[in-house]
Amino acid sequence: MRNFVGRYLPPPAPRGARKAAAGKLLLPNELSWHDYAVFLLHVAAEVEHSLMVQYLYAAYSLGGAEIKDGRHEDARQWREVILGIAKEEMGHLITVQNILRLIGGPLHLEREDYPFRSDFYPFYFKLEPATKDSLAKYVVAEAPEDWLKTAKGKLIRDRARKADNQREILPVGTLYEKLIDLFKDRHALTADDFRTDTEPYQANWDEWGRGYGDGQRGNMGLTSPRGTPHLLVMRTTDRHSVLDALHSIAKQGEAPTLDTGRKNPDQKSHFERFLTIYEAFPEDDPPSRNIPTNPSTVERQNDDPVKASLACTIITAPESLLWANLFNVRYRKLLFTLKHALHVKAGDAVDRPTARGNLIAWTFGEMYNLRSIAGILVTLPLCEDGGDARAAPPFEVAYTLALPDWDSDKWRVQRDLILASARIIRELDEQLGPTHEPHREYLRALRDHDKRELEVVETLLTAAADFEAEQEASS
Amino acid sequence: MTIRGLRILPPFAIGRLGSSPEPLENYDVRVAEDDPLGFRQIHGAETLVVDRHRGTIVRSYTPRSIKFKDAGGRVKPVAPFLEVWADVDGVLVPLTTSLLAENKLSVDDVEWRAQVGNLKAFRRTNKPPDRIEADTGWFRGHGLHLLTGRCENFLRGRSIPFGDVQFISPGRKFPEIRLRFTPAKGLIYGAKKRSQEGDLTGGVVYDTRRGTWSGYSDSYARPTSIVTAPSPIYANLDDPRSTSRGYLDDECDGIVEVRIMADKRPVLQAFARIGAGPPDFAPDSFPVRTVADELEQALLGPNPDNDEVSLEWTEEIIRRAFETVRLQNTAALNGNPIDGGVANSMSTQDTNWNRAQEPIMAPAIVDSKALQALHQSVFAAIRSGSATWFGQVLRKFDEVGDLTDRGRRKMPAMMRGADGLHLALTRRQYNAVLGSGNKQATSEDARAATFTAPTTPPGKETE
Amino acid sequence: MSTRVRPRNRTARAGVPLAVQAMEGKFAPKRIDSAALHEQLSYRAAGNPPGTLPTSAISNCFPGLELDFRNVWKKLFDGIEMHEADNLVVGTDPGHEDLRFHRLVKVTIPGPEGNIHQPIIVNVRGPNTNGTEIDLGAQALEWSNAFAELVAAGGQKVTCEFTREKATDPVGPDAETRRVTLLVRKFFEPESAVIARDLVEPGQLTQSLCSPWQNDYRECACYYWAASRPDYVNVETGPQGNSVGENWMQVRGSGSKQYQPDDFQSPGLFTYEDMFRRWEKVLRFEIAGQDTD
Repeated sequence: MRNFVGRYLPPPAPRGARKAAAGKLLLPNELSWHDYAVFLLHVAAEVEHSLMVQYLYAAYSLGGAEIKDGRHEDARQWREVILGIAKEEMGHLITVQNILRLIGGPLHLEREDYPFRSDFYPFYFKLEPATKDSLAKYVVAEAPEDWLKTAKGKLIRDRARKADNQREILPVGTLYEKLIDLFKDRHALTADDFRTDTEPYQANWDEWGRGYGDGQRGNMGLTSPRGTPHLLVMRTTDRHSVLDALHSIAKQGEAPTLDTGRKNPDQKSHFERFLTIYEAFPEDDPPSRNIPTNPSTVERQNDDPVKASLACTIITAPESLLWANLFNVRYRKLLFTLKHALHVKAGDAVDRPTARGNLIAWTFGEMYNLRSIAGILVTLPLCEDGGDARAAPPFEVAYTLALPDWDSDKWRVQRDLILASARIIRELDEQLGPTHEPHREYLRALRDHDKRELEVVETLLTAAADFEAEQEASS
Repeated sequence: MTIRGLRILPPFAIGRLGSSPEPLENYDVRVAEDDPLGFRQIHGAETLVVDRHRGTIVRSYTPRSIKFKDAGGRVKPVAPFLEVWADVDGVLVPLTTSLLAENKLSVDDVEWRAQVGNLKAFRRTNKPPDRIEADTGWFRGHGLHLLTGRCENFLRGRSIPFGDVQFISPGRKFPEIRLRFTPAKGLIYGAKKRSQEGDLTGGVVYDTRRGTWSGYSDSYARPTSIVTAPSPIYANLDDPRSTSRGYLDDECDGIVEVRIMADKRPVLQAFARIGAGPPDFAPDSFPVRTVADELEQALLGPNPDNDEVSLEWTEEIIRRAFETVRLQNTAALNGNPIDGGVANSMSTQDTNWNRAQEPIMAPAIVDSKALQALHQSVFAAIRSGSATWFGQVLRKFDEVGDLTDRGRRKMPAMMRGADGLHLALTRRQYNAVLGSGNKQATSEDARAATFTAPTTPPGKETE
Repeated sequence: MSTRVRPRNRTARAGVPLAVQAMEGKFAPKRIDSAALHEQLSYRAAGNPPGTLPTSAISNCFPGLELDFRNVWKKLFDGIEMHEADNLVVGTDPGHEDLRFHRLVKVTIPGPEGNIHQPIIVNVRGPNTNGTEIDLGAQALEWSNAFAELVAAGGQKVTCEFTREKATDPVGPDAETRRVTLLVRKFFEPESAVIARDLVEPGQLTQSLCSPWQNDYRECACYYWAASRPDYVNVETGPQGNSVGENWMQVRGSGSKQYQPDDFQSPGLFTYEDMFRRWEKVLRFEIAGQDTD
């Protein structure tokens, strides 16, 4: 999604023309309508993905040994709420994949590494510890149009703009409005553009929801508002269900009060939840850890002055660096496995569990891994020469998330990821000092788990390769 | 060192049936450090060999490997020892010959008695003459005392052997006062009428002219609600009434007691409970909810203190979850169709409530290996120091009636509880899982950990 | 007011549960504080394998394997006897005959921080065959959890609410009741971890189990006690990535591994006769999930 995004902006309105009527979309020159829909969905996917990652980072930053007594409870509560929001973004990301499937577009789980700028992103991508400034950005990004015009809205918007290097925050809602307009337009997307056979390849609530609905999970101690988090994993079968899904996502983001018409009338939107935290959040001395902005595992070039201010901080403490590498590998594994799972049919007979079952289980396993490794990273030093700064999860993007064409090769990638992990785990095991017994126990469990996973992967790789050979022979 | 009182430890010992004359050797079960997600390992442990004729321990040794059946393919019974401990100044110590001597007592003053019963027939017919009971009466000395189950409704001279008890003669190497209970062989007894040739491996004992156990039916119970749940669960003719064949087994449970006599009066006494059940056929795996959990909850209450909860306890619960899943065909248990049919599972049982029959979870995700992997991921995460985040996924004790999709997908999943509804952990276990998160929240390292659970005290979680 | 002092476990270490330490052979004290009841409960005598420990005995008893632990609660209230698996009063002592076949609906336990109102009945709710979520009925909770707070009131009187009329059919949690004060028996013998003598008599803990137990083995599927009575054994990864294994109760043999679902009649599974006559031969011990012996 790099710098060519600019080419896909709609052509400028003719000089002197009146403002385009609401909902009138302009098609960029190089795309067809269907293609434009796929493009916008790709943008939406990236936006959801990057928001999720930034929210997770903000959540991970809250808490820590350094914060004052009495602030722990606040930090914990805010962390829970933000984690809930991040989970819901994951739901959005998955639902967008479903829509892509429906209209025959390729899935998109990629994301631009930082630093980055795009005309569609709400704000510059920035992994940073939570502050009132950063929260202002999140509030504005999720805010409804009307609220932004109010006095309070304007104030927070100003603050957010300052925090975003003077760039105006683009509310996420705008993107979804575009998508909704596009999908409503029967001339733009005709019936032909909707496939009828993609359900087995979409994510469904039963498999992916894991009970995260109506606040039944992820709301221990009721820190999140009632009814949240509410993971939206919506399957789409036609235009109507796509519009439904898009509306739901938009509403979950920005509605002043989410009106679902269901039994949870106070299922608050992201905007509302962030606003509540923003208002309670201290001006100075935020209850967050001493973790960097945009941590990275490698040196990055920064010639652009804007980019320079979004500079990365390298993790140099050797042990921390290894954990950060491990984090990146598992992050990649999470995305790849999710993608892979959506490419395996949900059982030709609904009765039998398939490789998909394994893949889904592994995807969740990786989510738990990211949680664990992030938890470890933020207790470790950032710099080789000591100091108070702590390391943090870098969420660096892999060189590719592309799925190879052949099934056997897909399993090859899984094997690669496990082997890469194994190497890092081995090195870490050798490096770990005696005071890190719990970390060593975790590594052992992880290694054990991977070993079992590898057995299954090898079996599937062989089976797939055999099958492909047969196909080749008989063709 | 004056003995103030006695106890028998353990207070509850479980025996297991088997027809081999060799009792099962002793072993320990341990998690392998380098294979934390693997099966627990069985290691031989100190085994006491008893000469049953003389009633002495002739030697002890540590077996290198454990065989659960003997060379003839017979199952080795689990024959527990019960030790007498003495309360000396508020501390319990094993009662030995020397401690007895210090208190001017001798082994000859020690008496034992065992009383066990098999009331399975009586529970159904409600007729006292159907009670099968064994009582050794008070005895001294180290001979074998048979637990002979007698019943008014048995044929003359017939009985069911429930095993035996033996007061082990203490010696120099093993000076402790102990009893051994050896359970029965796992045979089947009954009446000639309605039995199948060959089934009664123990023989005919029941007198159908006097008793109604053979021919009994749960459908005769008045009111019908007094029958067992589930019912009918006795060998029957497979007819509409489920007419009982009158079969009996040699399981039992009861009490062993010890007393020490001085001047023909008992001066010290204690008792313990024993029972005999089937073998544990997966000895390296342990259930999620056990009698130990029930007893601990009764003893210590449903709200563990902060210093009682630990990550290790939560880990153990999760370990048992994946140990259980590992031995289950979870796809079948989920209600996935197999070969065109649906296996007996909670998914089918719930239809007894007129709940729609549906798989419990999405059929694709319930493969046993996949679920194991998931549990093991959770286990690893706990190990990393992540406080438990999944408390809400556990079924609360009063949520067992929630048969909605969400309700049935809570943990433990796909299993039946003692009330016939979906299984919940004991409240103590549940609070321990939540509480291990609380502990994280309040300890020093916890400040550093990323994810903590609420600081409300364990057990006070409300929703 | 219940001011019973909770037993203090003065010597046990937190961390690994005592039950686990016992099975590992790491908990074999030669002295135990007489007030350390948890330790006494968890004690593993010399020569006793882990199968002798309560931690190896299942307690989701329906009806159970080694014991039907539900029976321990029947006589918790002095004067009446409850059904082990239902809130029905099945037996009464003189003076309480009027409670026979009434149902217990609630118990009020006086506590140091106020009364605890313990419901005994839960509503069962779920989708009917049309998919509509409705109330499906009511069920008495299993005693262990329902009475968890009551045990601490051993030796004291509590207020019980019973149905006004006889109720041989189940009632909902809002049934009309009348109050009766009853004495709660002590669960354990004083200063001891053994279940009180007067709570359950010899034979009572096994009385509601299957007769013979072999019958239960043949009938009960694995959704109860897989860690003791396994279901799925000799499991490998199949070509589809899913698991492939055998039913513990199926005849082992030639041909590809195929799980035989339990349906009482399939020729591929052991029969009742096998269980009655040859259970020692046909049932295998599973170590590391594989047939052994």
